[in-house]
Amino acid sequence: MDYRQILRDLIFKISYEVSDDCRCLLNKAVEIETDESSKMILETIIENVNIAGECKQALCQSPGYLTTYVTFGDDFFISDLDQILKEAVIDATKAGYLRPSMVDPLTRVNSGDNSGRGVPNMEYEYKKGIDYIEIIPSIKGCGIELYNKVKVFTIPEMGDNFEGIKKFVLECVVEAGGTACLPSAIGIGIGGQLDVAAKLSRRAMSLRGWMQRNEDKRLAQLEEELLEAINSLNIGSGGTGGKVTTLGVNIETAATHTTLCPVAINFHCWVARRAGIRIYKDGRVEEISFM
Amino acid sequence: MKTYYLNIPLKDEDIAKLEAGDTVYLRGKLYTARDMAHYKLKKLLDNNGKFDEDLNGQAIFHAGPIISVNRESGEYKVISIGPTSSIRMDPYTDMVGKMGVKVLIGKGGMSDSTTEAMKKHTMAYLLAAHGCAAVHTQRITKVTHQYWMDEIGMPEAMWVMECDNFGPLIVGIDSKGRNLFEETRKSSKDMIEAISKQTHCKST
Repeated sequence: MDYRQILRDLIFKISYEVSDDCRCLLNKAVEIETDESSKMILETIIENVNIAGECKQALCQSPGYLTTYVTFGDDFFISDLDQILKEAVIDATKAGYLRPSMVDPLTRVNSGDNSGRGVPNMEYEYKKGIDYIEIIPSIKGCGIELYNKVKVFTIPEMGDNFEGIKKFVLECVVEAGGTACLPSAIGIGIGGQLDVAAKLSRRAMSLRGWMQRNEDKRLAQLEEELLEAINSLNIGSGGTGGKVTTLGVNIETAATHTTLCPVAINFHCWVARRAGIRIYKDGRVEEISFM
Repeated sequence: MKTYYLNIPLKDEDIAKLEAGDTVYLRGKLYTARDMAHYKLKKLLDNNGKFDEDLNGQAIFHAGPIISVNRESGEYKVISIGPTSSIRMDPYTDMVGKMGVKVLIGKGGMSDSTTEAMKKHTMAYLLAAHGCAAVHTQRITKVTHQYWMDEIGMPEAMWVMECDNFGPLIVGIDSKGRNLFEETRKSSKDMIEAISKQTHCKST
């Protein structure tokens, strides 16, 4: 099987096609929005999704930052996977789908082809007993990264019924305003230490569909409550007022130490550039839906 | 709220009639500039240099495009272009205003220091739909030349291009001191306290 071709196609595809859940949520958003400016922004966004998909053209001029999530078992792995993805990114850059944007963090020297130390970022997870490898590349925009925050809460700071955490999320949303390429999705990681919460926050919105609620009932309720609270702030898609500010809130948690509660807030622009495939040991290839 | 079709170069009276919330479509020359191009301009002016272009009445687009270069003819072509976050260019509004620039186009809005500079120089901030490169690219008709690409790279370089029917752009900050982003931020901030108390999800 030509894994190189499959992965190259996958990277190309996410540069011009949003995931199915995002398309569905945008169509709903334009229906309910009443603010004139924000509605106009949503209409342009939907026009953009259509043109990009039909003409196989980059959705956004910014290639954001690619993280690829890989889940594997005992029986099957694709050797050189990170190298194959590296080459796929360089190919997509040469083909004009991704703007050369990776630079050295200190010298700011641009490599010219999106290669560089540590990129594309890979996140591996081992799962016992599976006979496939699951690969989900996710491109997340970078403008809004400026407003991501991590706060390590003490127990009193958490407040009754998570009031402290809720307030923290709302303050981050207001501070980000229209810069978040609204309507955004928000990933929230809670628990572990600072690094664990931060990783969970990205996983939350990259691996799970934006309409899928957490399996834990209490967390699902908190997700819904936060979504409703954010959308009642009247920020809108343009940051100039409106009903739809955020498309989804996804929370993931991990156990933490008794003294603390780290919370990471991670914004995702509306452009859900992600797709997933499962490649089975026997050669079958399945697409993953985010609906 | 009104819709205007404006030609660049823009005059003060074109800008003075715009009100926050109006819609604008532009035709004419665009200068792209983001962090590094603004920095280059500032350094040039700080050292008493003169920029080769006359920016009177012109439009700056906060954008870093993907451009292809034809190896034989040397011609440039836009592959993809869209707005970047304008807030990073906040410190430069007064500088480009003094140079005669009339509109800044970008995403996410700018702060009250820009509102003041826009009042002073009769300028406006126009919001372009974010993440919509496929749409915006169609409105660019020609790329003529660039500044500083070899030094600061493709996205950071200043690209000079022509646009037609470029929009819809929403007037986010007008020349009379209204800034819709700051107004929205202030009113939503006031709601946080009350909304975070309306909680149904119990911790125990």
